[in-house]
Amino acid sequence: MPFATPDFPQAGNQELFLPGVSAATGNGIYGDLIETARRNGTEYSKIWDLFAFGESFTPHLARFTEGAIRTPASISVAMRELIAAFTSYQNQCRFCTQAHAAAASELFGNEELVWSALRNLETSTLGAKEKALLRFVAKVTKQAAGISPADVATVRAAGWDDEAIYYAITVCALFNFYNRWISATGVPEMSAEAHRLQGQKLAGHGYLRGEKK
Amino acid sequence: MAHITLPEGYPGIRGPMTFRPETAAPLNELVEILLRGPHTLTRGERELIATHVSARNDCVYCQTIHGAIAAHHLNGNEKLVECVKLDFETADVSEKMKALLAIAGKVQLGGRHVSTEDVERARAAGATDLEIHDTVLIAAVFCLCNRYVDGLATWTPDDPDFYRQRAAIVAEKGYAAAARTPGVPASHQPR
Repeated sequence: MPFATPDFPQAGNQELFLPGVSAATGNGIYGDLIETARRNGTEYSKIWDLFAFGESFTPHLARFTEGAIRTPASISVAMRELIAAFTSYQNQCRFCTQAHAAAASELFGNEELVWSALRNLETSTLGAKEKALLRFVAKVTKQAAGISPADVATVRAAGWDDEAIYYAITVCALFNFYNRWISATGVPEMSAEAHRLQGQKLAGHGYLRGEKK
Repeated sequence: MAHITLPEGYPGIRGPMTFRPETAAPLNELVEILLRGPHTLTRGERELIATHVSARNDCVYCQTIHGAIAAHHLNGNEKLVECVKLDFETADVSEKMKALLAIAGKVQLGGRHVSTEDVERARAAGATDLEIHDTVLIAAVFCLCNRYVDGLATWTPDDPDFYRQRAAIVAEKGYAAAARTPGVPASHQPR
């Protein structure tokens, strides 16, 4: 089966919009990764350019991401990766959608389920409990200031506890950050195969590369 | 009242940050570096970017606290802060700041809204790639923080003095250190 891709347009650029950012790779973990990839002529994720540029804050971002998505909680890592992909799809960020749809597909073991939920939540085969949470997450993206106690009560009635709701909101908020950072700086998507491999890595190993938890 | 049970006495983002300290620590460090670390944009200018995005997202807590911190850094000029929230093109800020605020506003709508013309305008006004990038980064981070705060319906005090006092503490000590100050006991909480 061919790897699914989003049905909204890509910007079509190959490099970031800010060459001054791509040029400054630094001496950190990501600078080394970029060096190696360039030397070997292998495809690499241009989000590394952003990580390498922001060496002072990248470790904190990595720790926040790891904590939000992978801290053991009453909501699964698979579901949190699906929230990341779902939020990215709503914000039409191709890079993030593919990266996290790949991770969610790996964790659910079901790529079709993931993409059907992204494309049309209501008609997808996702369970009623999961649909309720994604409807709530959609409102956090579109209209956070309008979230009401009734919205939260609906999610609770579907079977999610406060801890799960907390992580759902946190992951959604985090991807409202990533989607904007990635799209506005012009991080281009990778090949479908590269996204699939990266998704497997994210699903298996998470977001830390030598940073402390 | 917050949608989920959060520690009492902590307004805005401090509620969920106290609820999950392991999540909070890196976010605080991130904001500390972005808004207060060494930079060609002043602390006041970076707080204005955070305030403008929070106002656009209709997040009352964030726009009030960061507006108060911006005013603290800008000789107490609260009128300027209000003007930047509502209509920055008429505000008494540099052309470069206006161009950067325009980019921040586009990022608030969505990352894909930033156009080549927006970036050209900023470059023509003297903005470096680093300043453009960091404007995008600050704007994007506040799209996170605003949702974190409003998604959980955290406690939002009404008293402007509450924010002025807190702003003075943050401006002096920074976000990471200020986060370690105790919350407000229930008996002393403003309306």
